[in-house]
Amino acid sequence: MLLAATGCKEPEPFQETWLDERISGGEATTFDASSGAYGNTIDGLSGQDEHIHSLGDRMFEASFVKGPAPIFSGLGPVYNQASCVSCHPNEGRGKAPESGNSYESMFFKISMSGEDEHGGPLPVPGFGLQIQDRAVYGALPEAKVNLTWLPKAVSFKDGEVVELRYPQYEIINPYMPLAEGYKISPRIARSNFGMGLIESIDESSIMAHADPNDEDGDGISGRPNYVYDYVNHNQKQLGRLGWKAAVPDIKGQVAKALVEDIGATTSVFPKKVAEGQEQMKSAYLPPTTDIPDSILNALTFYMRTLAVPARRNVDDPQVIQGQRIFKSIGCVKCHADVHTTKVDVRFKPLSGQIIRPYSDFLLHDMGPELADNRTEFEATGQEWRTPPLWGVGLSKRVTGHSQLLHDGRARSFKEAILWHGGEAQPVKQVFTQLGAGNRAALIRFLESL
Amino acid sequence: MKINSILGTVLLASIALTSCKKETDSTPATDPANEILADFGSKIAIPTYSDLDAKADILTEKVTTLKNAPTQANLEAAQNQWFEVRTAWEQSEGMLFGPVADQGLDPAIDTWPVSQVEVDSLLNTAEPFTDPFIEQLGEGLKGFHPMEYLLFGQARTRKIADLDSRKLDYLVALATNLAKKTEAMHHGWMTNGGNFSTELSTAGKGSATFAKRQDGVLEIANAVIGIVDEVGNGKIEEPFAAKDSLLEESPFAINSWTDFTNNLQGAKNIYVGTVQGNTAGSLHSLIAKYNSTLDVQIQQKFDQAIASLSAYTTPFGRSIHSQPSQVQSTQTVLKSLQMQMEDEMIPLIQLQVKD
Repeated sequence: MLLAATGCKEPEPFQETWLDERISGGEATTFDASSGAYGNTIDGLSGQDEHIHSLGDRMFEASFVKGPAPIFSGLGPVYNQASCVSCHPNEGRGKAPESGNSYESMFFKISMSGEDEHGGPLPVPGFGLQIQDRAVYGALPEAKVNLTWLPKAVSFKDGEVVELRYPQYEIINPYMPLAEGYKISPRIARSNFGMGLIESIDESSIMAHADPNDEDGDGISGRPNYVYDYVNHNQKQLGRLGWKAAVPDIKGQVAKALVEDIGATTSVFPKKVAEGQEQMKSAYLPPTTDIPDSILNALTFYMRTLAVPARRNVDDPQVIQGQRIFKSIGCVKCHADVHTTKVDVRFKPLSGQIIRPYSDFLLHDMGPELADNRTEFEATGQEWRTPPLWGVGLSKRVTGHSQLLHDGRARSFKEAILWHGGEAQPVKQVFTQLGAGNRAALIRFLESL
Repeated sequence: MKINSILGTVLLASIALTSCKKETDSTPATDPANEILADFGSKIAIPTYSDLDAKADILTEKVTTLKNAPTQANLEAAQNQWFEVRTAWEQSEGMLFGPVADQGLDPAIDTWPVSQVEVDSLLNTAEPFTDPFIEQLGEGLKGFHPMEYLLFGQARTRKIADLDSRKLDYLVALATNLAKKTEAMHHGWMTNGGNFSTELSTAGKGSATFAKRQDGVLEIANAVIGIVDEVGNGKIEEPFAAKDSLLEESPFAINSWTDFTNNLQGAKNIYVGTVQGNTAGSLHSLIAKYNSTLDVQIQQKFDQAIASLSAYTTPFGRSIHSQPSQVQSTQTVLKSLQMQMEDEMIPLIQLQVKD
């Protein structure tokens, strides 16, 4: 009788709060907190998978050269960098320069008003969708962009003043006249880990946060960006990756970066971005594409299988206090902490994982000061995708700098928060009203991510 | 490839829980972790980069002499000095963190392969080789390997007659640019420069980069592991697995085995804390204090790996075809060294240096 009574008891439903706070990426979490923290392989790969990951790793570091060449052929004729790792040092984020027109790990998107046949941005005649500011020897870079930082002071309620900076850009030395009315948008290279998990999040887990018409009246919308999938040629796929969620999957992201940033063609983008431009006279065109599918797939697999750093100091009282503030003042409304990845029996390490990326992966109006005024599929000129915050606390150790936001204007967490506008304006206002102790606790929480 | 296991860490956590009672108090003055952090900048990094920078300056002098008096003897003197700088650089690769990584100095001097088509076009123009011009060139056009190509030609076939004034001008400009980068590495660690030394010495005590002492020690340990991983799983594995000599990194000077040896020697020097005649607080003293067997095994494996590399009778690009079982045995030692450091040394540091 007694046995039967206990045996019939329903198991208590699993609660997210039971999860270890440190395990940001589920089984795909690493406990490495060194400068190599972003470059760890996820657990559970087969020997063959490890081999493919390793091949992708080497290609990530490979420096491409102008063809014809026996290896790594495909650079240019115009490009931004010769290797993936140049923009993503230690698989981490890029940075903006202090001034001038030489960019190591950021670039500028460019487009005209209007849409192309897939609903994406409209290329600028002679320049395409990105300014390639380098060229192989003998060809001209498309243009350079001069950067100047301008100051802006912000005060907290308790009197602390923070000197912010914001960028001003000027296109110089275009190789041909630019059409009137173009829009440019800066892009810092993003860190690479955790993309496999983001790609695997169940669409319903993301859409659960969407509120395009703000029906709950909390001032936060959250819109999906439905974009064109250049790999499978499908319209209206949910964009997940990039600063404006304009790319639905890793393979598309990798192929786009290869052709736009390096100049190397693949089966996804088989034409050089300089096609039709005068720089093509300096181009070498191989019989097929520069990069075979095997290498494109290895690079894609490498990105998919980079583990997420675990949180640190989760028991620190100040961190716990900061986490409470993060939730109570509303940061978590967009930087949604928990998602679940879909079940995929073909690839267990990323399947059915409960993860903490601290993002809803949706678009939000961030106000006029951060606006690039350039649309990208359904993202307006003021909207940006909520960037995931996992691992962000290690960014300085990994890359040596602490720049944040799409243009690197923020030099600290504090500055990044202070640039939040639009839908995030009320939350930002609450932050400026907080006392110094609570502000420090919030920052300490972010450092633990 | 670095594999970081959750299971390993959970296991570690449970070891930590059970073992913490046994931990003995150690005063900061005798704590090997404190000694590592205090000494690393002044006794390891700065002497290493100072030596590298001085040798790079001499290389600039030697190639300038070669340009002014293009003789076979001066070519050989420049070649020999290239080996000297290369040795210092490869040994420094056991600590690829801090300024060398943060300022992008590694790819600026050690990008491979050479962008041969561009080098050829460049040599066929009259573009003046000013430093701003070199600076804005693609990475495949500057640093060690284009210099290696100019100085040695394919497989060390370079003769003085091959070096016209255009090649010599390029060589001088490349050497000058290289010396500028090595100076930046040195400067980045100096207390009156970028002061990265203080980031380590103040780890856990206000350092902006290393919140805990453990973070600083692990950074050094992971850098040592990183180069062992790079040699075994990258520099050797790639050309060997593909059986493709074209993937060899140093084919002009035929210097690959020496490069690998210097990588491992540099990593071992950092592990034992002996660089340029300095003796510094080291991972060796930290590990030996808590597990002397592990320390001995790590040092032995370094020595075995280095000895294994010295036993090849043909250049690397040929050995991958002609001596495959020997290459495999080198890799086995490296793998074993890497695994022991990852699976035993790192957990030990995490256990003993908690704050």
